[in-house]
Amino acid sequence: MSLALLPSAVLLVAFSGSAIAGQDEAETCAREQVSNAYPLGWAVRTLTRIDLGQGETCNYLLTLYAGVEYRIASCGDLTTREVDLVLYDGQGQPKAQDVSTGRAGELWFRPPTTATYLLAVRVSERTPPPATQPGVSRSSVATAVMYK
Amino acid sequence: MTRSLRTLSWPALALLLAACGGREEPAPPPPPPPAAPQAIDVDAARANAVNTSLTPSPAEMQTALTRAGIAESLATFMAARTIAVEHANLDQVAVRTGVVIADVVLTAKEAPKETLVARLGDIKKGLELLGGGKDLQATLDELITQVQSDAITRDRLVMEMDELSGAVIPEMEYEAGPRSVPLIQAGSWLEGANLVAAAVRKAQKPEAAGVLLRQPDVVGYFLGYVRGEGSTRAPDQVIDKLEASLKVLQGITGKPTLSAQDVEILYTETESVLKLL
Repeated sequence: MSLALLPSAVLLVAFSGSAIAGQDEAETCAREQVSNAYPLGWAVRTLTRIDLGQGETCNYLLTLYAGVEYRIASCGDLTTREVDLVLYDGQGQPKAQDVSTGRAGELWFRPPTTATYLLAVRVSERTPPPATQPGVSRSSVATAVMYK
Repeated sequence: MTRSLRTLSWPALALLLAACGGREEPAPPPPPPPAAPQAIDVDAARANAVNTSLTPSPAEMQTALTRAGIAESLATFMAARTIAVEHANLDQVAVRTGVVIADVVLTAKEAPKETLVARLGDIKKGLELLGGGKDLQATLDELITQVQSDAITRDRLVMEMDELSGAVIPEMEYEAGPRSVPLIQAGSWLEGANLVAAAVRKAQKPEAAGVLLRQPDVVGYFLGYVRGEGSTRAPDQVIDKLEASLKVLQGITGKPTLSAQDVEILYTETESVLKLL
């Protein structure tokens, strides 16, 4: 029952066809990031998805343990040109950011203290919606929180 | 995260590259570096933040315990109890199912096959009662078959359970409503926190509790659902006790440092809820 083998209906419910395609693309990409990380000893806390327009940010609260290493990976659907991740501490100070370009982003962090951190996932750039699908104004972004 | 090159100014970096290369042919300008993130108003950011990834998984609790220098397996502290997931109150079904999920994750490597199969069957039943769809049921059936026929390694089972609780169950919100997923997570966290407290207590390392159990936001998140709108809120012994215990835990887990007495209270409070299940 790997994630790749799950029936898509488990993961994708009640969305239009084009949106579902985007969600599928984002999740497939993020699952691949997780699958690549497993052999290196990483385990997954969560793999969740959100839809964002260009310039929009989703903030995730994360309880992170001191001494545990974290790897956070996001991947947008094929309409996503640039996804950016920044991890902030409880005072709002940036502690880590992804430095890659493109629809996938990743950051690593080993917290000095156990606390609640805030992960900002932002779609900085996306392709304009195709003329045939003018209503598709958001990109799906799947985010995996991994640890070891 | 290492990004030492980014600390150089771009003119300085260009000079450095020119010095290394020594060619007169001008190189195309490098792409501009992403702007260094600025500090944010964290209260404003938290106001609309998503909590789906807030709670550590039971397996992650075990990892954190080991990193904190306590070598015990959480499974060794697990009480020999059978938790029935079926109940008229769906909040209870969710909490009970979450506890059983934690039990499977934490014992997957050493539990007898029959025990695992029974617990996976309980999870399937609980998720079905909560409105989990047929695909989810089929997924659990497949997992049960694989365990029964030894077609899955125990390491792989741990991974599959991580994915089940971290990726598949959160999607149940669409089918089972917004309350079920947080209450499943609450059940798993409650079991994990109880076992961590037991391990810290045995190791006599209360200082480790500050690393392992300081999670006031997690407790607050669960409290919001236990007493929130949409709850059945008919008098219910377990849910009422859970709410009372979470209120106590919220005070303790928010302390900057935790004492041996705090650990004792945390253990007692979580144990008192689990004993009612």
